[in-house]
Amino acid sequence: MSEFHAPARREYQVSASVLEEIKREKKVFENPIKPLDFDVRVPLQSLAEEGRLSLFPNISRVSVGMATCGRVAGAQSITRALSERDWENQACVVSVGCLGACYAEPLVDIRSPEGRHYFYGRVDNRSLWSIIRTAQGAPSAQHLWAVAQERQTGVLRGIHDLELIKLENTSFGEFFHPQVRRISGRCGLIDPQNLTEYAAMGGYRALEKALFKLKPRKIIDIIVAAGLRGRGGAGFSTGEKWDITSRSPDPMRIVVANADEGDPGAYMDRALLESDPHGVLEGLIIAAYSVGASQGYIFVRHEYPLAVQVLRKAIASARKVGLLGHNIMGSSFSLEIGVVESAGAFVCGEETSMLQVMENKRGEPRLRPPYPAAQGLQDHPTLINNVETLANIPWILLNGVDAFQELGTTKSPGTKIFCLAGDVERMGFIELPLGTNTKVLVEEIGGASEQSVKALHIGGPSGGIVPYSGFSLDYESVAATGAIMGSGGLVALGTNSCMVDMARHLINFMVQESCGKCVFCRDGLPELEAMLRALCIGQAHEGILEDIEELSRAIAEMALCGLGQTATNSVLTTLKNFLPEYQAHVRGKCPAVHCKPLIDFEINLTYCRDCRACYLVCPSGAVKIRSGKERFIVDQQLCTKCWACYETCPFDCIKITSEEFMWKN
Amino acid sequence: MEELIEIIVDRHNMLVERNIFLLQALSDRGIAIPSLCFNASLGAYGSCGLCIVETCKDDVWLPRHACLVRPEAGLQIRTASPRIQRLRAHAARLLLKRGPFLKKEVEALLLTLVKEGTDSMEPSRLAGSLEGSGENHISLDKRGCLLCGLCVRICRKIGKCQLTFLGRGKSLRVGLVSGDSATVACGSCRACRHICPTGFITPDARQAFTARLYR
Repeated sequence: MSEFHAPARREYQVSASVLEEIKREKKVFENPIKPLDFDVRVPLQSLAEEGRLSLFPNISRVSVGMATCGRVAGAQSITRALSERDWENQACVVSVGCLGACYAEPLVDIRSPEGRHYFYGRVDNRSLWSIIRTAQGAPSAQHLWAVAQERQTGVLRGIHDLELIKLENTSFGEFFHPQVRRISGRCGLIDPQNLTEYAAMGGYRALEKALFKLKPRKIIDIIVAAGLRGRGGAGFSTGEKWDITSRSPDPMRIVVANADEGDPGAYMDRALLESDPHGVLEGLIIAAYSVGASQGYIFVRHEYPLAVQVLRKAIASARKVGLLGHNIMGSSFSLEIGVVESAGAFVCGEETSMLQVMENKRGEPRLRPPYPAAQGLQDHPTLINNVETLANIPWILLNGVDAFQELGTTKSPGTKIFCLAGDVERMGFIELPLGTNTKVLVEEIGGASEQSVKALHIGGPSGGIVPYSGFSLDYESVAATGAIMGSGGLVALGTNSCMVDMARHLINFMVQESCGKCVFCRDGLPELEAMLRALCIGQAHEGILEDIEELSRAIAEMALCGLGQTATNSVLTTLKNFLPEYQAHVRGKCPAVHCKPLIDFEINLTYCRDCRACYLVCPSGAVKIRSGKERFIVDQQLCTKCWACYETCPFDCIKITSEEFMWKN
Repeated sequence: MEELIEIIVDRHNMLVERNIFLLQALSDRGIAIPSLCFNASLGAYGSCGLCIVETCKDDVWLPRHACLVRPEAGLQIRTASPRIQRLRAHAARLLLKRGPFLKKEVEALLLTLVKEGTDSMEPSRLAGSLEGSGENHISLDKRGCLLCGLCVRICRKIGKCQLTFLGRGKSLRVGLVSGDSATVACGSCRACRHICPTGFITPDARQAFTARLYR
């Protein structure tokens, strides 16, 4: 055979001069469309090409934000109205996730074939026509919020590839301007149910790199070097956790993504799962590969039906193309991922009780150590990471450690998603570098004025309430104020919110959610709530503040799990920071004029024009008409403090007081 | 032969076994720590909150549940201090709200603990802490049970699995969830009745945890 081949090869030899000639003529071969770098293992490139067709079609692409926040605002009827329309091949309608600006929902983004994006916020029936006209190729300026242009037409890896060219609604720009969208950049741009669109945005490239170019050990080293900290709340080093799990002598290892976020007001996990589920899946697969796990689970909160549905679809479509299951991408690594729905209790988000639930037991925390990284699910080493932590992994692998550490502080590098809610103008989920000042978040992005915010509630019910001031948002600085970072929920409390009532409300939540195992948490918290309620209704006994503090400390010291130990944080921080308010409540006054039993309604007759609106609207007949100088008075015995008269009075004559304190709007 | 290690209890050196819980080790040596939910054969649970001791770590005394601490060599422990007494008093006061208990010695123990704890308080605050504040949130039919979980654990340990906790937080209760089969049905062994510290389970679990209306 060799004799046969030898002359043939010589025949095809090319001389050096001919080679030079070919090189010079290279332009002839250059195709406007780049040739596919086709990979037999997983057709990532062909998936991406397919996704590009649907992301950048030749017709207008109308994307409607259909995450939970959009649906609540009425995006479903908008989608129905748009998709039922006969577009005559001028446009297509797709459902995408949430862009983050939840206050602007329903949000519609129209991409013209030239790569121009028209954003319409707070869409209703009136603005539908503008949307339709824009989609038909005749942009309408009416109801338009912003226009952005793709920096390079047909290249969109995230929201940072869009350049703002026209801003009709300035607050929309202010909301996005300080943000750095690394891990949530794809949210709201891609169809979460469509794997190909994720691939078109460079998805699963990190997994390919991890499987074929990096050894598991090397990936763990990268994560350790990056200094990524767990985004679930405690801020434990992710790399170290991976390292402990990977060094376990037990060959059977399990990876669990914790998506059971119960903090009221925090929904970063939901946003990621609903808008970009494949980003989380990719992180989970890489984590499983690095620690050598063969089973993966995603523990999702039961109250997130859309997230569960999207996630199941994502897993199924990833399996279909060979990104999950046996021999992922043709490598020797296999992984199955299952979705577990939680039982709907706050305590189940704690990692040990989460494992109990997964073993079909009662959701009660168990004692640590042994830590789950050494002995977790069914006593096998279990790596538990928050969804947001996992979403960071692909970014770090693709962009490197140095790029990751560019933002953030030395101790907490990277970006973090915060959920802003409360007394601010613009709420939503916001990605910022760690260490950003709270003023940027609340005032620039949230749009609240400095005087209108009294306190910040950080870290959910186990977090704390701290006076509003400018401090840096990283794990250490937040802990120094007495609160905890938690999962990143941030509630701005306005000047009219009562701190005692807020603490009572949070303790009430904890009373409902305590598992009931140990006596301090089970019976101590209801007693604490009773004392706080006594304060709010003006029936405090002497020395109540000392009793509250002592009981809170006792619960924090002696409770068995993280829930109980942090349950009284809200009381302890408010006692420390807002003691005068507590003292006023002991005397039966509410400085914020909020607690109903402590406030009085009066009618200021100076500006009264006798319109009788208050008299007519009062449901309990407490507003009385009299003859003489005092024409209208409020009967305090009958008044139910429903605020109806205050809201109705056209001349602002209703005065609400709590002794010397007066309600200011 | 169990390996013995030395720990320091109230400034006295003491040899204890390594693999048992501190509460067990102390009571073996004749040091009485009040406790209502511990049973050596059922393992640690940490429900009643009475067995509080202080352990020393880096010169800081931290209160811990003795039933959940494993002895380490050189561990320093304090079994009595004003702080311990106060914490025990808090736990005892909270448990007393679940009374009245059928066994009077339980009530007597809890009352003594409350009294010991309040002795170390300033007299001005004594009144408020003894009577407790606010209303009692525990409904009448659940009075008398400490929710120590001993009955649930023993039932599971002997393989019957008839008892379980139901609900959570304030509404936590022990419930009898009996199976269909007559052979595993509750009523014959009465292990729970013997182990119950307060005498709540009379004459058996079926009676105690169902039909509470007419008792």
